[in-house]
Amino acid sequence: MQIEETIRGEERILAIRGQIDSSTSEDLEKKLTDLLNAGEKQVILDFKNVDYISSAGLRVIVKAMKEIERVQGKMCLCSVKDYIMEVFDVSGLAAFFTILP
Amino acid sequence: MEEGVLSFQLTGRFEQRQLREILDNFSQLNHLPPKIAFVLQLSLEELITNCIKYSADAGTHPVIEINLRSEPGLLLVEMVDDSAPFNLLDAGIPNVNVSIQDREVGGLGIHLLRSLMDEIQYERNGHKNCIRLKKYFEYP
Repeated sequence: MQIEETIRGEERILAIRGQIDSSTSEDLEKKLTDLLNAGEKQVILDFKNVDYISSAGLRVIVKAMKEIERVQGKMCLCSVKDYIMEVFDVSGLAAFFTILP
Repeated sequence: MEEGVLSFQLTGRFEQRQLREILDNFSQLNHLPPKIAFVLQLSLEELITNCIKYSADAGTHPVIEINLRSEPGLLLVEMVDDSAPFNLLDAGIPNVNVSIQDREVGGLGIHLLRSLMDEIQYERNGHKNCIRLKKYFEYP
């Protein structure tokens, strides 16, 4: 899994490529923690090239979502594939995120 | 199209990449739609990591046997392991209706499995757990 970071004004965009599973979710967790510790409050996760996510990946994203909400920040997901979106839906998580096309 | 059948065993260290390769090959050979290939990988990852985790907690290393079968419009997944009795159908369902701050971070794996699979069966055979999953899909 690779993560490419782009800065757009106040926004930090993480373009994730590959699979977010129990072995790669730690890298994503670290990246998100680093951003939040640096005081970033507007994070966009670009899921265009994410073709797999497991509960381990969801855990990391939920954790980051809690954190960013606590500091009144915002996290959005975009370009989520339909079967990945279904995972967010059935977990009841889709409602918490702003999902952009 | 005939059916595709694959059986393999996991012992010792669980290598995610190896499992993914095996499953990718199986999915491609059997022309599984991307969503079904995804559900296959997800369900096995969840089942296997759960099994290994709970065995590790108990200090044991399970031997896990996986049997896959693909028929037109139907995927069958079977996992047989020799760890302590564990029926995932009895596991609690996480509360998906609470706010994000109240959400627990655990318990999702089994919930996903139950939501994404069409049928799940559990059986205890002697000293083994046997879980069978079925996923139906549209076959063009």
